[in-house]
Amino acid sequence: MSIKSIISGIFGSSGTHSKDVPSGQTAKDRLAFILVHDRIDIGPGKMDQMRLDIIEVLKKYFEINESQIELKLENEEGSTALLATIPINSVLGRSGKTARRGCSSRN
Amino acid sequence: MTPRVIVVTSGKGGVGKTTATANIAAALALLGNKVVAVDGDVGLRNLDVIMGLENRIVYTLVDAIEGNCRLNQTLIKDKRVDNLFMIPTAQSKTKDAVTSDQMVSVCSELRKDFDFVLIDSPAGIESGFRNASAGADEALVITTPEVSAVRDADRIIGLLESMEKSPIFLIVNRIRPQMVKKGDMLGVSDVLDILQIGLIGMVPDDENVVKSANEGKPLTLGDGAQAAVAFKNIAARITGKDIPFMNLEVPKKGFFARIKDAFGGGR
Repeated sequence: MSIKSIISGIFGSSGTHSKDVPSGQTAKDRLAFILVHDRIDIGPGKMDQMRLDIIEVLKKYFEINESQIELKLENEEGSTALLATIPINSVLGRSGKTARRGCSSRN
Repeated sequence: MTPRVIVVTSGKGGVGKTTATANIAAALALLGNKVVAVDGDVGLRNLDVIMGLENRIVYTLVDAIEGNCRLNQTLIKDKRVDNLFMIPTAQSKTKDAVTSDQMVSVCSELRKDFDFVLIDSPAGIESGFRNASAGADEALVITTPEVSAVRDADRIIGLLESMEKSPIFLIVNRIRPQMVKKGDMLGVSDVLDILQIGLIGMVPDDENVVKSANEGKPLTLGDGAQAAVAFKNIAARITGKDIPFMNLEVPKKGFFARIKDAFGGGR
């Protein structure tokens, strides 16, 4: 704890948030995320719906653990990519466990 | 209590409409009212970001109007305070996606469920402003103590009067007491002399406003910050309470404040 934070702790800081991350950094992180969604016009809520739809389809073919599925949007060199990591436990209708690190798709 | 629909507007952009909407809505909810803040700025929405609810948007006002969902499906409940809701608008549409008539019927539907409906209007005097204001009975006009903002406020007040909004109250935002004291900034009384309209709040220029926007947490959900107190006072006055205006005179610094400054902790 710095002297400054002790002092402002004693005297009561008028600041709203005294977490370790400066709010400017939070702003930048939030904006990056918001703009990716704005540009493709699909918000996080719609992404969640899409995730459920994708899971429904995948379940027809694979045994998967829903909580391990990761869908995210990334910006690379001016274009947006949907990155999906879908670990597959096994392929339905086949015996034995197939493996691991699944589809990674880009649009 | 009769539901009240209030448009928050300014004419000039960037004077704090969205910040005021978010903070007053949160403060009204803290006072025990059921409140919904509606983003009326189709195509340039920001209320979601200022309130920190952007990640929870599934349906927007435009979706409801286009019949893709029901109006109550667009409501996002703020989990930090009881009785506070937000309705986002579309980012990818234009101002004519919501007509005046549609806004009127949206507002009358919201009146059934809420004590207060606050509408964050877009800047300007064109269709976006007119559509956003259509369903409102009352108006809050935001200005800053700058010539351009006051001039535009005067224009918007005229338009609101012709639309028969009543009452219309003024909020003077981003006051810098040091500058006013030196005579380098219009004081609130100067602004009132010019605009001839009732004052409902004076909000000091407070860097906590920027930080709260960065983090998506309306200041009025916390305490301490001067601007938060100012917005809470405004909310209380809206509900009819007689709250004295904040003293925005430049304070004489006490011993502890000076010590705090010496350590760089003062704000």
